[in-house]
Amino acid sequence: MSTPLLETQGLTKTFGGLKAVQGVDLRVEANRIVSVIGPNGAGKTTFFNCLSGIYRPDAGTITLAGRDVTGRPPHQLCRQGLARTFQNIRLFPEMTVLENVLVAQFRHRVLSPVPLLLRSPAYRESEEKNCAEALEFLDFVELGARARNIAGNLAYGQQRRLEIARALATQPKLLLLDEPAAGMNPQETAGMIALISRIRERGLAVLLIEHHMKLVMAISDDILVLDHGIPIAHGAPEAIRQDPAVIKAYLGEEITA
Amino acid sequence: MARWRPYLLGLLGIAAITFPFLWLKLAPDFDRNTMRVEWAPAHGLQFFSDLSPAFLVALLIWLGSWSNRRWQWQARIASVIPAQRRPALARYAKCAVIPLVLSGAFFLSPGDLSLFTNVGIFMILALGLNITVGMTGLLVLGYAAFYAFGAYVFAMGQQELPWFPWWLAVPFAFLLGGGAGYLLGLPCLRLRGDYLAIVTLGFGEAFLQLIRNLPITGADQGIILKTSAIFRPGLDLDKHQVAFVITAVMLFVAVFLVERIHRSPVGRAWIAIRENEVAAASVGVPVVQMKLLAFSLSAAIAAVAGVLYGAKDGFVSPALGEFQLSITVLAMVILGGLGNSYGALLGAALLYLVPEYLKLLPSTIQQSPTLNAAIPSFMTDALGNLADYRFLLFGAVMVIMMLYRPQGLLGSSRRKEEMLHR
Repeated sequence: MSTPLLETQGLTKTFGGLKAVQGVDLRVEANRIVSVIGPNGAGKTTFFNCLSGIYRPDAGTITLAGRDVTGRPPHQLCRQGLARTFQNIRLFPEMTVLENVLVAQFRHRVLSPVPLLLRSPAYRESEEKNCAEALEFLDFVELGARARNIAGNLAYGQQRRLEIARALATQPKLLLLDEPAAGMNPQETAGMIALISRIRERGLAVLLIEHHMKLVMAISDDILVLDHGIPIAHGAPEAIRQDPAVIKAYLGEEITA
Repeated sequence: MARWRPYLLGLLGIAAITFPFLWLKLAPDFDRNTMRVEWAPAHGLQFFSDLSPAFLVALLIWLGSWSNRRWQWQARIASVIPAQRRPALARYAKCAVIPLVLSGAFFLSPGDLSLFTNVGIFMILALGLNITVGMTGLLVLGYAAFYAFGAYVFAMGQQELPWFPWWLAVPFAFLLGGGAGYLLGLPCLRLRGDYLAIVTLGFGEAFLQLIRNLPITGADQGIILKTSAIFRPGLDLDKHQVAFVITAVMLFVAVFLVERIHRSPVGRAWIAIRENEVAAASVGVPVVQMKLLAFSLSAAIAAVAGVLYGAKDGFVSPALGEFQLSITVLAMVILGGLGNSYGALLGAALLYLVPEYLKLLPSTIQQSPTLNAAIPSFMTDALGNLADYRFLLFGAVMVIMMLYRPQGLLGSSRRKEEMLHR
């Protein structure tokens, strides 16, 4: 078997006495969509924050494309091909939509001071190439027409899509989406399902946190269920749907007299 | 109205506390060999008559904005120039400024040249501080220390070395200042907002105490520079003209440098860090490196301004590193518009020139018979006294700006771009 794109072993994060994430093992193969679900407070976002380097895990390892990246800072993980979006949208609100995406291309730019200050032809060319690529990413999420607008003025659903375009612009191999369909109406959710499928078609793997069961069941290859930070089930959507432990975590135990 | 209630209550409170004291004075009581409080209505009236020009200006500004809302004259004037021609026109205007400013060296009086050289030095300072405070969103309160650092690098260098003219000191101060900014940045990286401000303030004060007390810095006496090291007459220009031209050229170079970086991936990375540090890091911006670069560059620019000051005045003292100077430069940056380089220039010019001209205005009025006849004498006296109230006025202007125009006079250039492409 080939090395998985992302592998975690025994990943654990505690805040004081609270064990937010406990011993999570997860494998994400290239070009697959894996979902992490669980009730509120199950530790899904904490798990994501460990993966993307915002938190340093207390125990366990994270391997990205065969390389141990445990405890690396976010910008280095990004360099290794991992990008993410945030549950509470974190754009650069005062910048234009285009600039939001341009910032994400920083790691692909070779910057030396003299060509930058003198705006040498090579530098200008790379700037233009950058812009053209950024516009392509914006077109991909259907925001091309808003490129010159201030990001903070976009509608909520557009801001979510801009975050995805920005993450894609880092040219990742694995994209972490933290509740991309939160607060969306059925029509927008259908658009999001289509968008995530198109992201997979580009050859990316997607790791998804979502509460929207229809979305999760429609596109996931694999589902991991967390409850109180502990993985309680792992498998294909159909198996998860039937799993008694999952039903118990979501709905509580059936009262038997 | 409900929105303003807390501010109005606060102002009323301050007024209620201070108002009675305007009408009182202390007078010596020789019988009991002590001081006694006396009723002095003239003092209170003097206060209001001194501030009358400020009230007049406030009234004019209010009239301007009211008439603009009523008749939209700003939009009407702007509509004369088609939108797509505006960026090109702005570029030509910027280039035309350079010969215009330099030609000033030939028709301004020595006094004015010295004044505008100081303005130029403050513009360079504001431009540098704008990198950290405006673009990267790092509040630095000990900025004057880097200014003093640059001046002392020059002063001590020319003292120790047989030959160390100002133009050699400029690159030295730039590099050493950048290094000092880098070193200050290192311990500050984990801090944000108010904490960062306090730590930089602490470092600034520590540096000031150092140069106040070390024998090699001349302690409180400062250092008088050799005439061979500072600006000298040459090329048919006198000393003031040389200082003016060199400061202007340095300012243009600084604007060019800062604006090129501002409009590059590095500038975008700085703004991204200001807007959302976590998001910036997770899209691959090396936050630590970029913050250190911002600290270094802003310190390096301040150090160069310090060398220019030393070369202009021929005297360097601990007064350069005082906290009040840091605050003044910060006020310039905020007034002009955080994150906007041209705003920083405008803010520096306004905050430096307005008090200076207020001091000169009464004598100008008295010399001109028409103005003297048109303006009542109490107003002329008041204009002269107004300079004494400048910190009161700065404070009032800052509060009003925060309420009505928190983005500063020029604001963010990005918003305007959006208006053009709508």
